[in-house]
Amino acid sequence: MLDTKQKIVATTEKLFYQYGIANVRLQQIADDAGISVGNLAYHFKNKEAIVNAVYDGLLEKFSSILNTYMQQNNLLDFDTQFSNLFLFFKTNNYFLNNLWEIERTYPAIKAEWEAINNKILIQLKKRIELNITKGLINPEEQKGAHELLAQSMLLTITYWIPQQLLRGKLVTETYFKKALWNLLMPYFTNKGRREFNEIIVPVIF
Amino acid sequence: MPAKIQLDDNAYAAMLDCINTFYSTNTPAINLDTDFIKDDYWLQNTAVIENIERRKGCWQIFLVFAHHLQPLKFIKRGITNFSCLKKATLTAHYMRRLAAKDQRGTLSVNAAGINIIFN
Repeated sequence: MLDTKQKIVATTEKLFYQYGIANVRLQQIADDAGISVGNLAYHFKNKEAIVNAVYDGLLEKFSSILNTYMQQNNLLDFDTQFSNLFLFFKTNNYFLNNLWEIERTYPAIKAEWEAINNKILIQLKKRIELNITKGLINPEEQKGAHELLAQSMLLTITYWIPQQLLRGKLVTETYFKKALWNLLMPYFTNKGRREFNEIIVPVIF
Repeated sequence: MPAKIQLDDNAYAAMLDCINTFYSTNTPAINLDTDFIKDDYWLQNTAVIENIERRKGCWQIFLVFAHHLQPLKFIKRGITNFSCLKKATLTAHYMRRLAAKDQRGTLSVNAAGINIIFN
């Protein structure tokens, strides 16, 4: 059972997704949550406070994905992170819908989002480096190639779902992960390809 | 609400590097990795002989570790050097005592074991 505060946050998330942050009024949130505006004002003094509460929860969920680093000592570690990121972006894609508005109006949230994104990028790079050490991925032929690879992966992680939706295509976890593995595949060594075939292919292909 | 701690990107990258090193510590070793224990076991029963040579204007201390039964099985390692012969001699003496299994030097090399054939 959700308490009133949680109920307000959950309702706001839904409304932000449907109408965008700017178009949602306090009255609308109160109506949807089934409470009075006075009660809403008792819990959150203004709209900014509600936005902050919504995004605090969202960013906490997002940063918790970072905790799964190196929990498995093989390529499944990569795969698990892909799954977690897919789940996050699939269930919380209202954030991306409101990204530009957030940037304009709520710079503190934007800064936090940026920081977590940078950490995800660093994790991707470090995972690639680790797999080079393990002999699964070839060392970079040109300086900065793996940095660009990590950036392409982050781009796919963030914008793959919106571009599928824009084209009216299916959004599935398997397809999402295939898109990501497809970026890594050209860099695999023979050993990496073997491990990929043994561990990842049975799971997603 | 507690203040949020922001970790600098470089510090975060360094932290992940540390986590990456767990890969090597959590990977089981192969038997070959511990072969040096078996291979160097014979060094437990060696006579240690100090050896001082003049090299490049200095007195270089070498320690020769020879198996007490098979003197042909030995290794020679350069340890350090001194510009003064007396100092080198004294240091070599203490080094030998430190390295030898029996510090009084009773474990000696069996010269007959060399068994050189003069033909």
